Amino acid sequence: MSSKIENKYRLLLLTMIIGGLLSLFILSFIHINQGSVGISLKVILESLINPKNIIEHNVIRDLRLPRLIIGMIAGGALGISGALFQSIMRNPLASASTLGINAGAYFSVSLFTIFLPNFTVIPFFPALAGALGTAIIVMNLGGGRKANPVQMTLAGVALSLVFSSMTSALQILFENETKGLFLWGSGSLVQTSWRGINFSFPIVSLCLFFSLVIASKIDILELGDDIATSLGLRVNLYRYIGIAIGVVATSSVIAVVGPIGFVGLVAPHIMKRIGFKKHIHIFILSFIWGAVILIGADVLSRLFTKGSYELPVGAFTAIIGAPWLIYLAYKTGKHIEKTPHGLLVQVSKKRLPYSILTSILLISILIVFFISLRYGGQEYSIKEIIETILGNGNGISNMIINKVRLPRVLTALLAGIVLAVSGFLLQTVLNNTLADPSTLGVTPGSALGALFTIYFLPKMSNIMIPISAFIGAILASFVIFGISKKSKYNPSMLVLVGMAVTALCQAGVNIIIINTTVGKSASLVWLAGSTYASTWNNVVTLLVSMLIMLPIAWLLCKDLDAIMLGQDVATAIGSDVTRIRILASVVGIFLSAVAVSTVGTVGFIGLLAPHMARFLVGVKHRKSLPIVSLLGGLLLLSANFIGSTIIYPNEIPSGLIVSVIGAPYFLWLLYSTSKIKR
Amino acid sequence: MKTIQTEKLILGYENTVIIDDISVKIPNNKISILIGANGCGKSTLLRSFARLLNPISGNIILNGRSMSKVSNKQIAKELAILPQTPVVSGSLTVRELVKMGRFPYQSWKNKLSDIDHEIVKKALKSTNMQNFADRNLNSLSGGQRQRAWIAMVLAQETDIILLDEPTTYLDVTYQIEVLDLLCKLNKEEGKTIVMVLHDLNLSCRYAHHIIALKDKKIYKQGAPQEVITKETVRDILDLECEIINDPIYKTPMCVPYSKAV
Repeated sequence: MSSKIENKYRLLLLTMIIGGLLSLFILSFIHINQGSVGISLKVILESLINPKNIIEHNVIRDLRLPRLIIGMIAGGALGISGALFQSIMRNPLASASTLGINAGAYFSVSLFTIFLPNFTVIPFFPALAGALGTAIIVMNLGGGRKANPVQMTLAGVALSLVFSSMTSALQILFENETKGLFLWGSGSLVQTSWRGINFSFPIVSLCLFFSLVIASKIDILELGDDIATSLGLRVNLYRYIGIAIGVVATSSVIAVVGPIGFVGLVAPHIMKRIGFKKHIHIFILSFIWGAVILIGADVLSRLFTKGSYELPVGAFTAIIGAPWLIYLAYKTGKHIEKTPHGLLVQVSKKRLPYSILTSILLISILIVFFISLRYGGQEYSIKEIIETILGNGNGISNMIINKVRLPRVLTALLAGIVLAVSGFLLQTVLNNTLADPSTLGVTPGSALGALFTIYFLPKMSNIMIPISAFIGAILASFVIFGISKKSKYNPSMLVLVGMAVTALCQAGVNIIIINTTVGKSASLVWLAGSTYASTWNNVVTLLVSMLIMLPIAWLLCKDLDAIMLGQDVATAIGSDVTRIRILASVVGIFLSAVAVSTVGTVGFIGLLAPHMARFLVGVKHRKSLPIVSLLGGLLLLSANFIGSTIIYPNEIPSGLIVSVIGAPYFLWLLYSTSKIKR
Repeated sequence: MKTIQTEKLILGYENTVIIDDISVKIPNNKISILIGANGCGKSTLLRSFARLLNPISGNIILNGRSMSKVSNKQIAKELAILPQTPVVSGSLTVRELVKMGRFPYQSWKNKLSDIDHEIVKKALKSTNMQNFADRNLNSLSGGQRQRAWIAMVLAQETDIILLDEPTTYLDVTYQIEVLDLLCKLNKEEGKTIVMVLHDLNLSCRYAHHIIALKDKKIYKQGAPQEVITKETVRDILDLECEIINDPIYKTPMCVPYSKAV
């Protein structure tokens, strides 16, 4: 390094440190000035220099100052952990939120809150257990050390999905026990004492200290394992130390203020982009600027606070950070475009004959269909059921079977089919076995649309819910596809943008749910995907969309076979890749929006059914489409049956049952795909 | 007519021009090889021949008409390309892959006719892959996998075949195997073959026609003996060398000077 460049680097470093501290100082003043009670600057200064036992001074000392300081500690800790994850995993997209660590910690804390409520006041150890577990899983699933960034991030997204669906299961089943977790769960800096600070300050300081100690080792680690080893570095040792520091720092933050996304993604990345290469500098700057970003987000979020409603800062960092993630995804996705590859799937070596398989599925559907009509409170015999359906039942059985159970069971069956086909199409279109409406951000988009109507237009909700869900899905898809258009709908790109859109919609959903006092559980049930109280209208909507879209899907199958070979080869053998992709996506998005508007956000079916089908009958699309449909229908039908009978007269939303079945399968799937790729 | 040629072709990505105003005619029934330094645009030019990249301006003329006016499927019946190291699901068998080569000939029914099956069989035979037809792609060696892909390209039954570095990542044994196969296809079936190749000496041995690229333009083209000279190698690859005759095949052979030995 010539001395001129060296001087420039030093100047830049100094500017960024001083600039960061200055910004932090200014923001702190604004921050401490905010609140429902107006307090003059003079009083604030007095309370700090010469504290007296008056209300204003107490408010500042016990509420505002702790909030400010915990914000700095949390922002800094997230900045450092993000920097560590990004460098050690050589993944510019890594951070506690993108790797699923936040979701894992949240799940673990919910679990402890329910089953060991008096275990500890600050849930550090539960958070640590969840965070550590997730970190280990995501590194293994993402393809280990040689993982490409996008693959690992996808594993993180998928894990987040698994954990957050399990968390919502807990929240619905244990509404009372988890009530207090809501505000915390979306990340809030609100403090009522110094307890959180006393707890997290020493831990975060230690993490900062140790990360600075190993900074020079991380510099070498970034050169690659082989070179680092030949330079005499104990690669694995420092890798694990670094990740451990990151996980501990994150957990101590999560334990006090809840999962806050994107700070850990944005702060280190800006520093690296500006041109800082030495990790000792990256760590210090990420700490300072992480704090700046989090305090800044809190200042902004309080500008939007009305009365006693508090907008959680976690939602706000998502609103700031998600566009950043899109930008990053765009940058990273462009490089990945240069290595085109086809769909990687696993296929069973021994296959059942096609006709036998189809018959087994059809018979299973029929059996579940009839037992679903039979049980649930009043029990009916098969004979009575058939008579009632044919119109020869008595008044009561007519009511129960024809008006309640039959539409519900049919809705479950049809919605299952629709969801499965939607995921099936999107997976091939995106050349991505982890794609489905929920990982792409389409489902969260429609959920936000529907919730918006439920809360802001309650009078017309019945007609408007499906329509607004559909509008939400379309808007989300427009954003996702619009942004990825430039990269020619690059698969990885789409998923990353989808992830950002999901974060945005999730933030919106959280804001709406937190700001409402009534019906929290009801909307959670809907969000978790429920077939409860389905009507014949739902059945008609689903049936009509299915009859229109399924034949189109079937016609597209031939070209989807070609697309499976990758974009170049597909074009070379004469398929109109772009046109087919757009067409198939439109069909897929439409189907998923229809499903959301009828049964809420049911995840996993769009992932599970296509995988199972490919495993059973191979990769040819015309062959697997019928199997996909049957499997999807069977899955949701069974989930509906289990959910409506297992704790009768109470209900478990079908979506959650699907998640409980789907999550383990999905984890296994991730594990085995990561093995194929290596 | 089985001709492919370009007219004032300009290629590039976003704001960078990679190929600047090239008009070239590929000789029929011959093996043509594109050579040049890394990043000189060989692959870009080849990809544009196969409409995998749209020109910024200029035309590609395939069998007498501008390629932009021909449907994607029709092009696939006249010209086939094997892109660089395609990766595909390991669960596909060789036969399934080769059948995909019949894609441009199928209607929406997606059924293979008896003729299609015959052509698939023939493609497997001429690439010597009959015995591997029901093996999974990922159970094959590098050379076998490349032959499977070439079989898929053959199943397209086109007169023109383009290949983007078909020997990359292969051991020299497999390199010869793949190039021999292409040579045989050219001799026996009169296929016009255009490819990008890195190895100068193998290029001279197998090519009838060499197109050397430099600075976004064609530097020189013609028979190997005409094109591969000390001067050409110095200009396009920035390398000092002696050109001698290959002791076996008498084609030009480049022996580079080293600066340190």
